[in-house]
Amino acid sequence: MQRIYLFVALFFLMMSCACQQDPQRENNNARNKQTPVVVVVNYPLEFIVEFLVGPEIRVINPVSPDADPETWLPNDAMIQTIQESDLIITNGADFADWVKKLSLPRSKVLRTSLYLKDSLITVPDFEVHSHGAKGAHSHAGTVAFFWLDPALMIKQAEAVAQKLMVLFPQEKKTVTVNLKKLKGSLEVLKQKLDQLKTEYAGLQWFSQRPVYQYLARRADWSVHHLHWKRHLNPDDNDWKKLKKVQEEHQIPFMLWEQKPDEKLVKELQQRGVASIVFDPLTVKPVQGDYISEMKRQLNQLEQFLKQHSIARDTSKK
Amino acid sequence: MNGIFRLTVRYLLYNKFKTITLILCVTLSLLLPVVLQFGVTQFEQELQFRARSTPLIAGAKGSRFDLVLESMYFSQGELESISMKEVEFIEETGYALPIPLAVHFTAQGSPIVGTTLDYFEFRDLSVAVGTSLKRLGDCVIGANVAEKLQLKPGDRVISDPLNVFDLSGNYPLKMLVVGVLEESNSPDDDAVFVDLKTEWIIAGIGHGHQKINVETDKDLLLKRDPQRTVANAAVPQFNEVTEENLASFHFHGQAETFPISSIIVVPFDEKSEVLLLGIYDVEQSTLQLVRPVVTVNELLAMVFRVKKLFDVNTLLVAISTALLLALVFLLSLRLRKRERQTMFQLGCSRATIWKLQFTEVLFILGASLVLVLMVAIVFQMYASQVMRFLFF
Repeated sequence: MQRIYLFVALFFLMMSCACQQDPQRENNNARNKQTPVVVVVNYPLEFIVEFLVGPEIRVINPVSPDADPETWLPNDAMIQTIQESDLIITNGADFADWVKKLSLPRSKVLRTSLYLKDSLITVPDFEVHSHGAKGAHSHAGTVAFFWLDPALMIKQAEAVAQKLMVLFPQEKKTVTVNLKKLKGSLEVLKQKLDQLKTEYAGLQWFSQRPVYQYLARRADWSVHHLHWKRHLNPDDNDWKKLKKVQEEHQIPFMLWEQKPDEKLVKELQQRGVASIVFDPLTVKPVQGDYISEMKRQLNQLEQFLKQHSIARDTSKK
Repeated sequence: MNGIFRLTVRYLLYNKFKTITLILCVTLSLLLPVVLQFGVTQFEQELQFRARSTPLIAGAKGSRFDLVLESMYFSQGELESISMKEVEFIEETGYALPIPLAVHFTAQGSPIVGTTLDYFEFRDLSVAVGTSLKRLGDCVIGANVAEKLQLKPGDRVISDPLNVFDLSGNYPLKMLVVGVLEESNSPDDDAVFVDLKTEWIIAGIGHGHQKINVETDKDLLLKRDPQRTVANAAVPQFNEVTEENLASFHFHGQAETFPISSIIVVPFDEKSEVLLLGIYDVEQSTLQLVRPVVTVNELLAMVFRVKKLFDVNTLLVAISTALLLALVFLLSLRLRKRERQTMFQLGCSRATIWKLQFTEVLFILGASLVLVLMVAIVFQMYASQVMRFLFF
C-alpha cells in the first residue's frame, strides 16, 4: 500500500512539473510581443533599416531569397504579419507588386520615393503593353531602382531614419549615430561613381529594361532599354530592333541584371556589344552587403571599362 | 369606487366604436409631438456623435452638407470627385492622417465604400466573423448587410452596374466576402467595405486579363511593334479576383490621379487642425475642408426651425382634438340625461355621477397614453433606421 502511495505522489509531482511553463519561453514570448516589427519590400531598404537600428527592432523582408521581390505575392499568414507590423517601408514607383495587391493601413506605410520626387526618372515607354479601342498608346513609368545611385540611397536612408526616430524615440541616439556611419560609407561609393564619371563620361549602354537610369545619370551615361523579356532569349524582332539602334547610335556596352547565356554574349559581341553583369541588388547578395557588393561591382565596372578602353585604343591604332 | 369603475368599464365596452374612436383621436394627437421629439433627438444624437468622431472632411468645393452626409452616411449623392493627389498632399504636410473614401458604387443596393485599413481603426470597427480585407477583390460587410443578404465569409457578392443597358459601362465585380463586422449601430452596418484599389477596379481603372500570346491571340491585338504590344478592347477581363489571376490585375495611369469621393482628415493635434484649415481656406483652393460638427449644427438648426412649425401645428391639432373631445362629452351628457335622472332617482348623488363621467375620460386618456408609449418604445428601437431611411 505504501508503494502505491509513493507511485501516486511521484505521478502527481511529474505532472505538476510537466504543466509548468518554461519561464524563459514566457520571457521570449513577452519580448517578441514588444519587439517592434518593420517590414520592407526589398533588400536595399532591409539593409538601411538593419544598419540604422539594433536587434531591438525586428526587420522583415517577406520575400524569400529565391523569389523576385518585384512580382512576389504573400500568403494569408504573411499578409497578416505585414498588416500588423509597426512600419511598412516601401520603395515606391510601383516596385513591389504586393503593395499594389494588398490592403494596407496607409498610416503605417512609408513610401520612400516621396522623398526623392525631384530626382525621379520617368521613361515614356515604360509599359510594354496597352489596350483600348482608342488606338495605340503607352504609359509613362517611373524607374524604381533608386538605390543604384548612392546619393539617392542617402536620401532614402534619411527618410527611413526620420521615421524610425518618430516611431521609436528610444532608438533616436542609435539611429543618429548609425545614419552618420551609413552616409559615410555611401559617400565612398558616390566618390567612386564620380571618378567613373570623370574618366568615362558620355558612355552609352543597353539594358533589357529600365533599371540602371539612376546609376547612369550619376555617371553621366545614357541607357537604352530594349524591352527584352526577362529570362527569355530575344527573338528576331528584338535583334532587328537592336540592329536598328546600333546603326544609329553604335552603343558598345550592355548591362545585365543576371549573367546571360554564353551564346547570347557571343552574339552580342559579334554585333559590337560587350556585356557586363551589374546586379541591382533587389535581393540580398550571396556574400557581403550592399556597401561591399556595390564597391565590388563598381570596381569590376571600372576594370571592364579599362579593358575595353585599351582594346578600343589598340584597334584605333 | 368599485361600483364606479365597474359601471365605467361596462359603459365603455357597450359603446366600443365610440371608445375606440376617442382613444385613437387622442393617441394621434399626442403621438405626433412625441414621435417628432424622439425622431429629432435621435437625429441630433446620431449626427452629433458621428460628427464629433469625425474631425475634418475634405472634398470638392460645393455643398458642404452633401460632402458631410456622403462621407459619414455613404449616401449616393452628386459629389464631385477629387484625386489621390490631395491625399498625398495632406500626408506630406505631416499634420494629419488622411483616410480616403470612394463611394461611387453599390452592391445589391448597399453602398460600396472604398477605403484603407485605417478606416476600421478610426471608426473602432472590429470583425465579428472572418478576417479583415487582405487582397484585391476582398470585401468586408456590415452586420445589417450580412443579415439582409444572408452572407458569410466565403460567399461572393456582385457589384451593381451603374446602368444595366450600357454595355460599355463598368463591369460588375464579384467580390469575396472575407469578414462580417460587429454590429456598431451606425451607417457602417449597412455598407460593403473594399480596398480603395478594388473600388478602382470596379470603376474600370484597374483590371486583370489573360496573358496575351502574340502568336496565337492575333484577334486580340490592335497593334504590334518591336517596342510594345497593343491589345484591343476585345481582351476578356476577369470579373472576379482569385488567387490564380491576382497577379494579372494592374492599373493604368498614375495612382495619384485616381478618383476618390472625399477624405476623412484626422489631425495629429489641435495646432495641426488649425493649420490645415488655414491651408484650405483660400480662394485658390479647389477643395473645401469642413468641420462636420459645425456643418451638422447648421443642419440641426434648420431642422429645429422646421420643428417649430411642427410644434405649432401640433399645438393647433391638440387644441382642436381637445375641443372635439369636449364636444363629444357634452353630446354624451345630453344623450345620457335620462340615464343620469334614473341614477339620481335610485339614490346616487350628483358627485357620483360626475365621478362616473370623469372616470370615463381618465380611461380614454390612459388608454391613449399606453398606446403612445408602446408606439414610442417601438419607434425608439428603430429610430436610427427610420431616420436613415427618411433622410439619407
